Amino acid sequence: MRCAKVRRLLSAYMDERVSGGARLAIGLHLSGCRDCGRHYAELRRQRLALLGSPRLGVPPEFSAAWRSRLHSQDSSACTGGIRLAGLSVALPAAACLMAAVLGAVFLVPRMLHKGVLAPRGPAAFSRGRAPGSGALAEEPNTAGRYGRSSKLTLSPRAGVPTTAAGTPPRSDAPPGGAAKSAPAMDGRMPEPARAADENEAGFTWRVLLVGLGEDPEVSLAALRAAGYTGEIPGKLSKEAPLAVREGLSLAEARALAGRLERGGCLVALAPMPDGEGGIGGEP
Amino acid sequence: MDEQALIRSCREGDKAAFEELLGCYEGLVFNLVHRYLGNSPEAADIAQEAMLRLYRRLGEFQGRSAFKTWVYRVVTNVCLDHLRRGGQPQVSLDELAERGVMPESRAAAADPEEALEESELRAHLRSLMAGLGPDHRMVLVLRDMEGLAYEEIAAIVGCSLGTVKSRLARAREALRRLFLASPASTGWVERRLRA
Repeated sequence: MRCAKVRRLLSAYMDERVSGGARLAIGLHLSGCRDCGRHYAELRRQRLALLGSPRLGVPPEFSAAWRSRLHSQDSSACTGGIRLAGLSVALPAAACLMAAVLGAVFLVPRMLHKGVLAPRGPAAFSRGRAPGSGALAEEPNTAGRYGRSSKLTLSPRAGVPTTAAGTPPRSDAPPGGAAKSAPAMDGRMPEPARAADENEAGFTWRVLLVGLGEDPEVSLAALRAAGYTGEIPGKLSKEAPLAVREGLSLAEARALAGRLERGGCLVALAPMPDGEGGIGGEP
Repeated sequence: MDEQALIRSCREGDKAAFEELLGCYEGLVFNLVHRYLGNSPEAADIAQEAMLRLYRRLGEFQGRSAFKTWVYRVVTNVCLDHLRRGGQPQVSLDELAERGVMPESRAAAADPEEALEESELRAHLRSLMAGLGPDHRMVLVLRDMEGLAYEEIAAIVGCSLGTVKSRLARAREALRRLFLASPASTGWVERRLRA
């Protein structure tokens, strides 16, 4: 095993997170390579120092302060009241959404037919049907971060409005809000988006690409091999990830994430916004 | 009353049950916040905010993970929110201890000189951690300070095991490089290797 590979695996080796064969090979390498041995010793020393960090005693004033503030809170906050409150917001929101859907389904085609909503010229459309072909294909490409629109569109097939960027993130999205700005996959995947199949946790998942590896070519190859055929933004980050696949079961999402990680991609799994929460959580 | 019973009582609006439940975790919350943020002036406020966030979000806990994991997750989110608003960790835990918030326990070193060196190293590493990004700092705190398993970290952070593994490797390597680039490291590695 070469030094570079050994050094990449030293952290996992230290935590006994490498396979038996790799562990043996790394051990052999470390016993014969002075530089890698030193590198490993430095990592171990660093870890031991951090592990020995003292735990602080809780100051009585801290304890008293949060208890005092707790008593000034509305007691319904941690009960079903929070769900009722959420419901009271959700119901009008759902009604508005339904009205918007009905309006879009029934009014927009009529307006198009009557020429009230004349589609723009071909140059204004990034893709989709030709203007005047019946259904509103897509908003003009705003050439934003992902180079494609994330506005409200009408599905060419069903005429059903969908939001390309998905619904707002769940309240229990993982730290970092990786799902907040995930672009949609629209029609770029070779397979149509799967119907939501619930996994054991009760919701479906999306696989987000938050960065490419040290060798972007390898990462891009892994991405293509995983079936992603859309364009890849120049800048990826946890705040601006790329949704590679959506609507996957947890096992499928993990398998895909594993394949991408083997290509050096930085990936994250995020529950679908409209699913049930997995481990609880909060915004 | 066991934890599940306490959670049920909390959901029924029993604040005494919540006090009892969160009383068991206040040490974890207080320490975790200080480990993420150091003793920045607002760390105590953030810890209190975390406690109240736990109270407000308890209705969303569905019991699909350990309650402790959920607590970690909520507190981590509160700290990340703070860090992304521009808050930075400022002072090491050892300095905090010197200011009167004393550690509960500290392994007694046989050699006082070694203990001092250990303490200095730890303080130095903690201050260098402020130079890491929030994601890297998070996995380092959870793994190397809190001693959590990869699986727990994945559940807290909301990512795959592979991501935890790679992020942790990068974080450790980044901290090692920061340390080696710092003047304080001069001669330290050699001394330790000789020892």
